[in-house]
Amino acid sequence: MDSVPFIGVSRHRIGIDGVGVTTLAAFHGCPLRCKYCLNPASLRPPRDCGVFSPETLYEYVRIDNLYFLATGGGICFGGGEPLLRIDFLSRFRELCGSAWRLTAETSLSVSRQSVVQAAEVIDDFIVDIKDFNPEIYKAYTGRSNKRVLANLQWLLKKKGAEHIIVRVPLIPHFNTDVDRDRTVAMLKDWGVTRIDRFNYIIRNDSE
Amino acid sequence: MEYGKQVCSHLKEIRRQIAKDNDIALDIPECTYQGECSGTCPRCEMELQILEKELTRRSLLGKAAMIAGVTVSLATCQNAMAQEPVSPQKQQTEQTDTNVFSLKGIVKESKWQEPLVGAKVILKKDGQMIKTVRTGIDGDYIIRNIKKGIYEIVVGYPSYKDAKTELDIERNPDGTWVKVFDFILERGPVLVQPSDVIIRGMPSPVARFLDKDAPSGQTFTSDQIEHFPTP
Repeated sequence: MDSVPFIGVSRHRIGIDGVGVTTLAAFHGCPLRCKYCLNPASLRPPRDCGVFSPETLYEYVRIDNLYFLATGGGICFGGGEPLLRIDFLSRFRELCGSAWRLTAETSLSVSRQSVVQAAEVIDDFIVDIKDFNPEIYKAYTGRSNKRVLANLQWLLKKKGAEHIIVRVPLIPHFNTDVDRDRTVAMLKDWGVTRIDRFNYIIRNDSE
Repeated sequence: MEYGKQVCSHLKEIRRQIAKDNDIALDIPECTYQGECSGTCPRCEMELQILEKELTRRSLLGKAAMIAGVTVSLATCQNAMAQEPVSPQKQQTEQTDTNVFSLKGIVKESKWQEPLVGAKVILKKDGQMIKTVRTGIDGDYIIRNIKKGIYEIVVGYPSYKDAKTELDIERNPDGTWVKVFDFILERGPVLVQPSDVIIRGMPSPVARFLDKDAPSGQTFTSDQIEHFPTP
């Protein structure tokens, strides 16, 4: 399979991307245009990005195999939007087998087909929902959240709430604590059990 | 302890446990490096590779490895991924009983015409709540088994003004029994706590409203906040 650009690969993350010791592999490219993008390198032209094929990435990260097996960890795919690279993820799963836990940190702003395929090879999902309110979501990301919510509902039924963490941010100038509380209430109504509230911190260089 | 050192210490403990569980004679001394640490170093990587090679060698000789109390084979790491069957979706049928009716529609917001998922739709008669449903993923709702009569429908969603209407639920002129009514909700006032909100040191979208001669902190009333432009 061809190589694709990555904005970075970070080893030895402990308890950050779910259970155990993990390596984060962050893809370049994202369908959203968030006003305070946490990884703006994923949106710039990929000139300075490293590239990996599933095979070369596997060879690079397998050095930590024993840590993954010992702690129930594995690889967390982020970015960018990892669900834009479904074929890559599927091939990577073929290479690493079932012993490694694969996690995807995703916006779910992708086609249903991508989510369906990802659910076959990804163990756990970390979903940054931004805000349930469609007006706030569109103002912040530039896109509708209709597909996101539909995909989340589908994923909850397919994988179960125990495999999905939904992250609910407080985004300065876009939503409030009240909005965030309402998003949390809606998520609980849907059966989401793992909810992580957090705050976006604006860096001066992103203003 | 600095973060890198914490990671190093944690990973070292894992290596020691693996060596101990598998009777591998590997000296894993405490790290005496004093400088900034990323969590690993050439020595740590070497210990890890020695463990991996030894366990793989034993696996090829038919001996299982003990990792985190679980027996694993390092020689073969690939298993087939089982596929779970997907449950078929339930088919929803419209009400056909001639004595009762259905009311359905779509709830959207006014600015982008986006569907509002999870909006509350309340059916009332003579001031009493009869039924409450929530909109689905397309902003769609349906209320079934409604008897003929005049009802009030109230639709609400956080941060939006309630929409209300009165409907005479009866057989349609074309003979159908399903009433269709869509709602468009307008954005409500920005909700703030009873006291005014003090904004300090905020970046540019708010800065242009600051009086340049005002002190660095300024109080905005909830009315003023409502008229800030959206980014």
